[in-house]
Amino acid sequence: VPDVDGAHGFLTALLPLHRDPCPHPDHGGLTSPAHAVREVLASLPAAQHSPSCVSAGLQSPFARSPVTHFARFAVIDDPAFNGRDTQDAILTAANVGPDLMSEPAVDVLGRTYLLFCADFDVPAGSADPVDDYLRDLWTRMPAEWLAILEHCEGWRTGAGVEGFAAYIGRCQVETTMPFNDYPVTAGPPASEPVRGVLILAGVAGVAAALLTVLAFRGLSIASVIAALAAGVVVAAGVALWTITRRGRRRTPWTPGTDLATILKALHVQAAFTRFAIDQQGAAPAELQAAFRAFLAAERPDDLASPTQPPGVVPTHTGLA
Amino acid sequence: MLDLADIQGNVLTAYGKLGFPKGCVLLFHVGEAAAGRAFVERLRPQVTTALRWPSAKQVKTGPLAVPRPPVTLNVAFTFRGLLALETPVRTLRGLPDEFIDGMAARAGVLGDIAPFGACAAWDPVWRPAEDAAAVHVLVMLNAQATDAGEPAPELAKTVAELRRILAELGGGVTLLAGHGPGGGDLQPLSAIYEPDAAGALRPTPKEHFGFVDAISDPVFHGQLPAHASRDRAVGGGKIDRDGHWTPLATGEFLLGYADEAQEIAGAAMPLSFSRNGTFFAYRKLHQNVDRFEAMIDAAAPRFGAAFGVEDPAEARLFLMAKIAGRWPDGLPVAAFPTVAAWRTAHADAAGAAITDPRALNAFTYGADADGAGCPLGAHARRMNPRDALDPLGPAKAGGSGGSQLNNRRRILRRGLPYGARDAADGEHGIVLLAVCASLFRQFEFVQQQWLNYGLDFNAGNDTCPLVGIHDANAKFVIPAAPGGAPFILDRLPQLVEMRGGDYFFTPSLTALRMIGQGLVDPT
Repeated sequence: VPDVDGAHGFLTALLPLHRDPCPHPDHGGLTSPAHAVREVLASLPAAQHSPSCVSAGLQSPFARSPVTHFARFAVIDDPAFNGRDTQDAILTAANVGPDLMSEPAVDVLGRTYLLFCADFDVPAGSADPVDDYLRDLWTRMPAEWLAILEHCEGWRTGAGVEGFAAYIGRCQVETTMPFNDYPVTAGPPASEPVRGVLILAGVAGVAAALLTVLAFRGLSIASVIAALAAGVVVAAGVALWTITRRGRRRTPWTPGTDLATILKALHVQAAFTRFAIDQQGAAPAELQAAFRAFLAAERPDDLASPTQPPGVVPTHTGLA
Repeated sequence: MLDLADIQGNVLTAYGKLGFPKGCVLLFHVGEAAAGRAFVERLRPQVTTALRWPSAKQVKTGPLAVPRPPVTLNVAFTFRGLLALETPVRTLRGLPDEFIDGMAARAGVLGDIAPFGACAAWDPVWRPAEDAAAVHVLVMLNAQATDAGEPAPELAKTVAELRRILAELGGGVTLLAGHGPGGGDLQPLSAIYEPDAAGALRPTPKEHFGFVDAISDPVFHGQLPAHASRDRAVGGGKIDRDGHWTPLATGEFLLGYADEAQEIAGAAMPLSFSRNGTFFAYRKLHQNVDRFEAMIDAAAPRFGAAFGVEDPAEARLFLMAKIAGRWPDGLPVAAFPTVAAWRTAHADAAGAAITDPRALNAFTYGADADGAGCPLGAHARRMNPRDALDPLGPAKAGGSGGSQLNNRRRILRRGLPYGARDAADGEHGIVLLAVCASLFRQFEFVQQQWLNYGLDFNAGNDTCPLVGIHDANAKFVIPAAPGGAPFILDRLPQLVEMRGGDYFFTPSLTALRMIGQGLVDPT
């Protein structure tokens, strides 16, 4: 599965942070770039998902993007070290295993990285969805991005929207493992047909074997061995190539799973629950009239309004 | 076999149901560690253990027996209390995070912050302006009652004795005011009294909304004599894949024993400090009886019309039953799902079912997966889902994992109601002691996930209709049998409000001695 699945893009980028200390924006004293970027991130407002967030009156800058479902940052200092590999005590005692006195290598990163992930809407037929998304995102929150990018290696101040899309694009990591909450079809995903791959690989292998025999100008022990080897190698290569190619193919675009539709759906769901409660025990004619009024007021096909605003999770905000 | 003489008695039994319908709670602050330890030493001989008293039920007691006391006394400590008593740091750091935090700091997890400023309604003793008035020690007294419905005179004597001890200790330990009526230093407790057939006032097992309460307390290994254990495990223990009920593992309710994960969970060291002790959450819960009655009165006629119950009184009872998961008299809705079934149970042998513990507790939810009998979000079904969360699917789909997902979420309920429901000061509700080995895994989980959320029961973010947080849109769905329309109870008022409490460690007699003597040795 590639970075685009259905109607959603899944961006994962690792932004390298500067190694040299930088002046703190408030007091000018030197501070570590990792410290500085963590401070910037800590002061970004969260979405309105709790009474305290709501009462603070601030909103996440990502709520300004009409296509972002989720976005997250994390500072990655180093990979975790899980300790030494386990050893077989008997082999070690028999002096067959590795020398326990030698120290195993501990993987470390050469610098600290900032992880940025985003799940976003991809319009049907988009040629470069990540680039399109990044260009749009920059226009929604340039000040916030500038405060972050200031600490990133390779970012040129004043690069603007072009530079931003190119920079994050360079930092993108191919993950191929997005979690798409809006699958193409209900039920388990269909497995890729294996038979087609096997036939293709088989034909290629046989052809390679025949060509090898021809190249040897006739059957001999050497030509048979060479033909078998060539057949197996070519068949395996073709199978791998085919599977990888299929893996990169985008799954079909899924309509009705973009952020605007989902927010509208949540709004209609809540409004309909209220409608169902209010109409309990209503006579059919009454119910029909009320439902007409409901449709007129809630306009289920109108994604623009009324709807649930982005970045807001209704929660326990007060008691009856 | 549990060492009953080493375990505090209120862990194994609910005194309120054993002929101790009266009680009171006292809270203390330890200003000087040495005085605090001396106080513990003075209390220690009076602590009521779990030893069984000789009784009419022919329970074997052994060659030496303690008589049934007129007043029981039990002791527990907050984390700050253990710190004030100079318990070693190495022991303290082995205590669980949530216990160290204390209940006020866990308000977000517990839903006690809603609405904004709800914590300001806590009794002043639980929100001291300074550490010099923090709650450190809790003493709970349970008393037998006189025929006139008054506490046995020994209750007042015991309180006087405690005051005398404090005076002798010269101010190193203080009795805290600010949680009893009028801001007093005693929180009186009492079962609710109602006239019996002969017109005499008798204590009842009811709470202020009018329900018989605390029927399905968990049953665990070693808690009861063998024959009672077998009997009461039906409905009170855990149910396995074959439908057999057995007592829960001891380690779910006492520290130092194997629990339902077949392991002895880590605990504060030394083990003798933790073993035979446990934790409880003390919660004083105010009940808005008027709001509850008004809600039922307003909705019962519409509910009766929707569910075909013509008699207004029966519609009222049926609605109450759907909300609580039990009829007001205690009969489980899952087993008696209609007014007709409930009426039959009453007619049958003059209501024998209502007094038969098996009829009250021997039931499951497996056959009622859609909640047409007992609603999925009903109070009792949330608090103790039994086999309703069968991990292998509903009974009709074949699989039975029994009560597997419920066995690690059980809570022993101790405590008694307080106040009179018609009291002018509005002081009435229930003092709940939720006893469990892990407040985090048991009490807090149930409070957060099952009481103030509904996803595990396919009820979205609906909260418990009786005890949950009710925001402006709070609702409760009463499903009908397939094909029928559900009844949705809407805009639930806030029925239960927190008045304060904290997390307590209730130690074994061994640990109490070590604390009192200053001999807790974690090395």
